[in-house]
Amino acid sequence: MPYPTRASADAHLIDDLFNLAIISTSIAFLIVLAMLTYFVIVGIRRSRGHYTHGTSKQAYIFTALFAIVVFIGLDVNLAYFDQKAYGVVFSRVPEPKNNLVVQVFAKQFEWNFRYAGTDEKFGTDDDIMTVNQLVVPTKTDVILKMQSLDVVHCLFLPSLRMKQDVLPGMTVSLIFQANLTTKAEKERRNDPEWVFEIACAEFCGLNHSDMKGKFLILEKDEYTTWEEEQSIAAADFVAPEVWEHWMDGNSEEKSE
Amino acid sequence: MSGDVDPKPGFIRTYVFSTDHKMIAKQYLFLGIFYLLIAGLFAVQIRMQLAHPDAEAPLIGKALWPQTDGKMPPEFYNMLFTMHGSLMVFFAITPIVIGAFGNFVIPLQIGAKDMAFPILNMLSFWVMFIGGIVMAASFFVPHGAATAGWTAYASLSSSSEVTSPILGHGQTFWLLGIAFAGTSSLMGGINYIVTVLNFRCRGMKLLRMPLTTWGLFFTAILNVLWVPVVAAALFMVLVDRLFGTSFFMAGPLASVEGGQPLLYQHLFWGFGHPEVYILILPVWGLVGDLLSVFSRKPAFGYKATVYSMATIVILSQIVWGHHLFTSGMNPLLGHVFVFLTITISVPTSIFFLNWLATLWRGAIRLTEPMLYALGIVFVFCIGGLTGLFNALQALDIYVHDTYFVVGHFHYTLAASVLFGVFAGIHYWFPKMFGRNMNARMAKVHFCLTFIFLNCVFFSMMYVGAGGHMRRISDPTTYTFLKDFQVWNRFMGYSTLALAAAQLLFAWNFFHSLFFGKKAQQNPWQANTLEWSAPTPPPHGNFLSPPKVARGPYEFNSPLSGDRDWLMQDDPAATASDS
Ligand SMILES: [Cu+2]
Ligand SMILES: [Cu+2]
Repeated sequence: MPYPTRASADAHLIDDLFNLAIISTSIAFLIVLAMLTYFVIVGIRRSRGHYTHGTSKQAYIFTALFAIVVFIGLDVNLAYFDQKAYGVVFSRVPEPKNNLVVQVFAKQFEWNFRYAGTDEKFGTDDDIMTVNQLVVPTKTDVILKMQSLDVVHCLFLPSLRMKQDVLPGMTVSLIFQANLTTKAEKERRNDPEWVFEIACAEFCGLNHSDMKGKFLILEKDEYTTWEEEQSIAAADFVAPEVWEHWMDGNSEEKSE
Repeated sequence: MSGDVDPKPGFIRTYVFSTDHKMIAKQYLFLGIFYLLIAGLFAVQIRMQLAHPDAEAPLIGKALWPQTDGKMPPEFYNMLFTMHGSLMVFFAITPIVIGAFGNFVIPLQIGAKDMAFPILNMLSFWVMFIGGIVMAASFFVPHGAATAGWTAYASLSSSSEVTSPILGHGQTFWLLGIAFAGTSSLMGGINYIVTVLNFRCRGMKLLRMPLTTWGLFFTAILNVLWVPVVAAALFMVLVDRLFGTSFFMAGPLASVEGGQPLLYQHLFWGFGHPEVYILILPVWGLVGDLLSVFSRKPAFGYKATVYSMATIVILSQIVWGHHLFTSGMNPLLGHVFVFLTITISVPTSIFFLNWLATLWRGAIRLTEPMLYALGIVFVFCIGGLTGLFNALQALDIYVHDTYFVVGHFHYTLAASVLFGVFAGIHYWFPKMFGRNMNARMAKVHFCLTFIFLNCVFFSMMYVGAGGHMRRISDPTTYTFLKDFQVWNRFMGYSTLALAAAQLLFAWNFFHSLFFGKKAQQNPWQANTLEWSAPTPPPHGNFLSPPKVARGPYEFNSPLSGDRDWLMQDDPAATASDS
């Protein structure tokens, strides 16, 4: 199947679930198709249909049994694996000593990311701001705290099989851990231009199609270097006024 | 009331402001076909843009955007997909399946002279007509028609301060146009319910009604319950836009605090999920009718089918949350909605069982309506099974807002309902217009449509599995979507072929209207009452009030003698049954 490259240890659970759903529904579909074709081909040559009257008790029992088999065999079975996958992929509890908080400001039509910087405090001079570029260290729990400054957007990380709407007026979070660096994947593909990507999945207006960015996954030490460099460079960065609305209520927030 | 039949109405009363349900049905049919054509052409433009995002838009490009060498600007693309969805759902499928089929079929199948409220019926058409005019007019206001998607999510749709195209009045026109369509559906719904409950002829017990009428009846119930909800939501969007309230506004754009954009999504999908069943229930009913008639066999599990429809009516109202797994809704609610949603497959699987069991041991007649009906079983099976993917929380989060979802709902709404439209038109055309359509041309049309429609919609699901987002005007700017461009081209050309195949239908329809062979009274040898009426039925429908003696599907009954069918009101065989 044409799934995008996986960049986390959990993402395969979604692909497995997808494959399982494809296989089980294909079986159901082929059974229907086979019966349909057979009954039609055999029936074309018949001159008179078989008469039945009303619905017999056996027919009711058979119908009920059939519905139960479909419900348990197909639906409940898939829902079980679904809920199991959901529990792993979307209910991640961040490790206390090994995490990174990134604030996400979505606005038409760009993704803004704010990092606490080396002092690990938001709202200070060394905060790092990036536009359309999410930089994270590998094998670290990343906690995205997201807000929209205008309409509803949706952060889509295809390589993690994750997606979360970003709404104005409330903060939603998304927690993940990446395990494949951009560099490693570039080497594997032998394509220096190649990147992981982020996209906006919820239609948000005029240039929605362009609301995208790069998703850079670095080795831990590379990330530390990047953070230090950026923190120094960020000293004279002034946050746009429109961000203050959000920053006011949350400037106390620390990176745990 | 329906008893008053003016023997010689003038031209205007006959063809324009008619209160005859059959004329109103025809009006709905022509309105629906007109918007089907427009919205279909939009689909072609959409797919051509995705096939060649950097090229000049075919036919219209050079004329509309000379400054960009004919390349389509994103605001136009946004307008195309917004109006494609809105027109298809509210001004093409609704008027044909509910307006035309509902109006034509319900009174005839239950043996009534007309609808319960003929004047309300006339108004419901003209209100929809005005809505259609408003939608059409919205293309000519500055900045053009609406661009917020057919779902019109707030606060994009409710904000008048966000980027220019939404500033235009197109979105406001859209809200008004949908309000007219909703009002029309509400009037129609009340009329259908009252008619079915009170205007059945003698002997027509509820459980002797044909399945098409059952489907239309349940559709009417859902319409009456849920159209007011979406109307309320759209009204709040309207006052947010025009008068600066903040029902759905929050964050920096809100004028006052306390608004909630998520509320809109709940209200919209509270209506939106039942809407899927509003459109498909009549088609399910029609499939039940057609499979029985063209298998020359009673519909298997008739009662179970009716009860399953009723169950779906109830379940469809409590599953809307499966559209909101990524919305920021509490995940705990998500688990509940997963469970509720998968229970829908119980009644749905019973439909399939009953359809297959109807064909089993039948004498199959592959007429044109039967081909479309079999086509529906095929495409709806794909549509229904892929719905399961969207019911699963973890999986839906990945496929949400991708072409997987678009492919899925095009299998249910576009493929299944469109085949329903063709099946119904071919089936009732002789009764409606007194002439036959060309059977061979219809069969060729079915085959071509079936092939190309699967090419388009199945490919959609494939690229969606790769994460291809919907509603983006240029997929080539994404690295991870590069490989899918060949699929987008394939879909583009398949859409062209699909559109070209519809010329066959159009020619067949309009040519047969004037030059088709004169139709018999009961060309399909069916049992239901519409075939007892003269062809075409006069104002008042039946020469004498019918008296029903049996259920709708007594094929090959021991009572039927030499023929293999037995009309519901056939007095020859007096024994009353079921
Ligand atoms: Cu967007
Ligand atoms: Cu739904």
